[in-house]
Amino acid sequence: MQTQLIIILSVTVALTFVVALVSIGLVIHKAVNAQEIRRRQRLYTHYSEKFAEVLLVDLPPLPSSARTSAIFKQYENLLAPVKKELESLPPVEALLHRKMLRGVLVDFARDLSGDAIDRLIYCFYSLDFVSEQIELLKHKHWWVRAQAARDLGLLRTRRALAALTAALEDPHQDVRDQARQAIASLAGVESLRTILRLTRRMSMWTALELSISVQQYGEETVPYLVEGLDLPDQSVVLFCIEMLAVIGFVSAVDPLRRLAKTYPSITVRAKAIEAMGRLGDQRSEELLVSFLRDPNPALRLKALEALGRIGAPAALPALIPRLEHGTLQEQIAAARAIAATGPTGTDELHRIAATGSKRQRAVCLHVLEERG
Amino acid sequence: MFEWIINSYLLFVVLYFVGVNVSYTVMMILSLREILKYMHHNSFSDYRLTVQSELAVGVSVLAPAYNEEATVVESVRSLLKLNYGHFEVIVINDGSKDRTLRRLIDEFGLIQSNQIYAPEIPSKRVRGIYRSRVASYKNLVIVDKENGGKADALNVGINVAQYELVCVIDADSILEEDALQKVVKPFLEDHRVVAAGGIVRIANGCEVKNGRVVRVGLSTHFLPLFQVVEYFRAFLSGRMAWLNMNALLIISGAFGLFRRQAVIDVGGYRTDTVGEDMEIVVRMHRTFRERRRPYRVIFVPDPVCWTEAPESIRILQRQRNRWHRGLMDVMRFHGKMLFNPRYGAIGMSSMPYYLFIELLGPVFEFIGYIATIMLFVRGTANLDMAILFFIVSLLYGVMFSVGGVLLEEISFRRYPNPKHLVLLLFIGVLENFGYRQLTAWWRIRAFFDYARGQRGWGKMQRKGFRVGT
Amino acid sequence: MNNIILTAEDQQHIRKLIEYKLTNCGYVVVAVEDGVQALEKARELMPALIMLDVMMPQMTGFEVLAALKADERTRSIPVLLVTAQSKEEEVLKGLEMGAEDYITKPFSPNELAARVRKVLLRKGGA
Repeated sequence: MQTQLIIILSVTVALTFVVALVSIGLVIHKAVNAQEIRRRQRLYTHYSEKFAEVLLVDLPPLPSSARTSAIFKQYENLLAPVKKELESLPPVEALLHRKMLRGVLVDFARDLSGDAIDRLIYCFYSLDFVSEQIELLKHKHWWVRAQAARDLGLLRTRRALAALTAALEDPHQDVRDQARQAIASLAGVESLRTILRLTRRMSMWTALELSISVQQYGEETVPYLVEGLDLPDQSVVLFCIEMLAVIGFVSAVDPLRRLAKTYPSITVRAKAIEAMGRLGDQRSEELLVSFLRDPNPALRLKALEALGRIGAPAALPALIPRLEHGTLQEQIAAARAIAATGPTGTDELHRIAATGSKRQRAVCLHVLEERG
Repeated sequence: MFEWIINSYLLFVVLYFVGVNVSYTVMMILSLREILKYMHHNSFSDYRLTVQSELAVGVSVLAPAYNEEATVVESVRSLLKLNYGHFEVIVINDGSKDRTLRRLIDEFGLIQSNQIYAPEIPSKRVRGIYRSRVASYKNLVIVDKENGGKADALNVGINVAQYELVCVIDADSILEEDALQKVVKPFLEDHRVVAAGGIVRIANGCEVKNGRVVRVGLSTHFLPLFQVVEYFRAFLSGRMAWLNMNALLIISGAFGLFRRQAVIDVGGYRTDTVGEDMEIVVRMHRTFRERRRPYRVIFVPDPVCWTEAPESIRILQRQRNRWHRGLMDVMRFHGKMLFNPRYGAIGMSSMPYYLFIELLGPVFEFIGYIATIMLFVRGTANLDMAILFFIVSLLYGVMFSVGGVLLEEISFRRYPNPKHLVLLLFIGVLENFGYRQLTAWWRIRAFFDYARGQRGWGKMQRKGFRVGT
Repeated sequence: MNNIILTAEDQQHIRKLIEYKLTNCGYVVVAVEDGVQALEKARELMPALIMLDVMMPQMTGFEVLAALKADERTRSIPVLLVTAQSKEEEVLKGLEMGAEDYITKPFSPNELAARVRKVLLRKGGA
């Protein structure tokens, strides 16, 4: 028993020692780190001020070609002092400086547009960040790869397009997502076709990110979105429908009508109906009314909501009976749709609020109060 | 003969603690891995997207209130300032006997509303719904109902909620501004996610202004300090470990986010237990596994919620008593899942863990102390066993407490001052010599209370937000 | 009328950029990093224009706007809101609350300067 006890005791003492060492180490690290953080902050401020100046200097805009022109010379001159400063530093220092510098450029790229972005892109190339980031796309840690893809996208580095396309096949999900996002920002609106084709099981988060790029391109994306409606992956189809509704291109109603009528999945049909409502096209009215008596409650609800957005006076007779059928949600949507048809509808609601069944009264009062 | 019994028991308890230590170590390693994965995954996320985009889902924040007249207005104001796109704040006045409702009506210009909703979960009678005349409070909803307890109030809130996600908080939870953004993201990334919990941090000693923690600090009283370290161990190195196996059993009532429909699908909160926050999560696991429906319950380690920890022994004792009785309720209701392979990792790993380590742990530990003392009194102390017991229970306990602190330091580092770190490490050691035994004793007493049929809440004192230390 | 412009922006690099750009254009720029300071400075300096970022921690641009319009002294100072892209509701809400104009991020510094000039001209004239 004695020997076993001694072994356990020694192991424990050793472990305690290790833990104590690690603790002390972390405390020291923290104290030192506080200084380190302040230093980084100073560097960041330093570079953000420098580059704010660079971005604002009064120079003619960058030409898109002819890299030997005099204008490029002027831009180079702007960057020369920064480059010299970097070169004069020892390698470890320089690494930190470059990291902060890159952070500044990326942060600016997120919030600026127009001329400023062109300059930022130029700086990014000129300071040799592009090749560095492209290299990082092959790093062994997935988060480094993903960060590189994201930065390349934010800085619209066209030269990285090939490397980013390769990254679409990366083993890690996050890297693929960032690469896709990057390509969407920098390869122009045509890249949307490839991206939609290659995407499988798009999560809402990915849809969110992609939607920002789509919205930036605006109406140019519409043909590609319409194309996307025929893709096999349902999540992509739903995304395309949503984007069409957000962009608000009214002619998109036609393919949506087809989807609402014939697509095999209820989710997609419901979404298409919702989108028709958001696009606000009066021509959809008839189709929407036809869904009011559909056996599927999801479609009925969506049709009622859509009519509520469009405001269809001609549908009033078909809407009033809906106040008595279906779930509470449907009845509320029906009341909203009735109110949306105009003063006649609102009068009707007032009438029912006074004379209808208990449920009808509650529903009408609820909606009337909503409308203020 | 007597000695033989004592020594055998000590042997058993030593082995038990070795088992516990091995589990804790494994959990710490798993937690560390999950935390790092989380941090890397979100390091390049732009959470602002959840606020900016049209596609982001809406959140209904539910705040049950009972006799909170001193603090309710402040709480509601800070909730309304959450940085999120589409959200509503639903305050459920659970039949307060004080002027809680009056204060709200006066402060926010409320009038009775004709709002209707489908009462999908049965509850005590709702007396009325109030909304504000003022445009900037248009996303504030007050529901007045008959008293029915927190769980009942939450059920009403869920009925009234209009958005897809519901956020369940305590009246004295202090949320960070981007709390919703951070905890909503996992729901957007994976449509199977039905529930998400967040880490709860101790606000004692922090500077709180306008319902936000503006400076992180540590309390100058021992009790909250012990709880800080305890929470690190429980939340950071404990809960994260279960994520991978989809076996997370507790989401703190102080802050949780659920898919509204999922809660309705399992029938809402149970109103006959004090552990309703744990019970509903366990029931979700059980129901969805039984129905073979794909689902995930996750945990967001990012510190987003702060709460005031009890500073008096009596209140702390009541809180721990309640938690333990809640745990017993859960075991009683869902005991059939134990060691049942049909329930996967829940049945085979996390339920047994909660039963043998969390629930029964204090009992074994205490009997161990008594046994050791008896040996000494007898004079025939088999020192070996006693020392062994001491090592595996206390010394390792120290290591895990310290480990929790270190885990925090490696990951989120909310305490900026190195002096804080030193203090916390010291507290980590100290925690095991007195505080831990105290809480263990309270938990044992909880068994007796439970056996005697005590199932209620006891009185909790509401102090409101502390400013300064 | 003075040519002081007060800008509230929590992100340091953007704050600097705006400060430099507008200073180059000949204005006197006072840059603060949160809404509380913005209100203080607004009442103290009575600037010709106030630029507010909508997404600021602790006190959003909208809250500042509401406070400015509620206060007699600062009610007539034109406010330019800096909003996030694609948030039409935000824009409408801001204009309804009394903001003079808005600019969305990502923005071009030149465009910003032009907007500022336009607003000042509009207000200066009347």
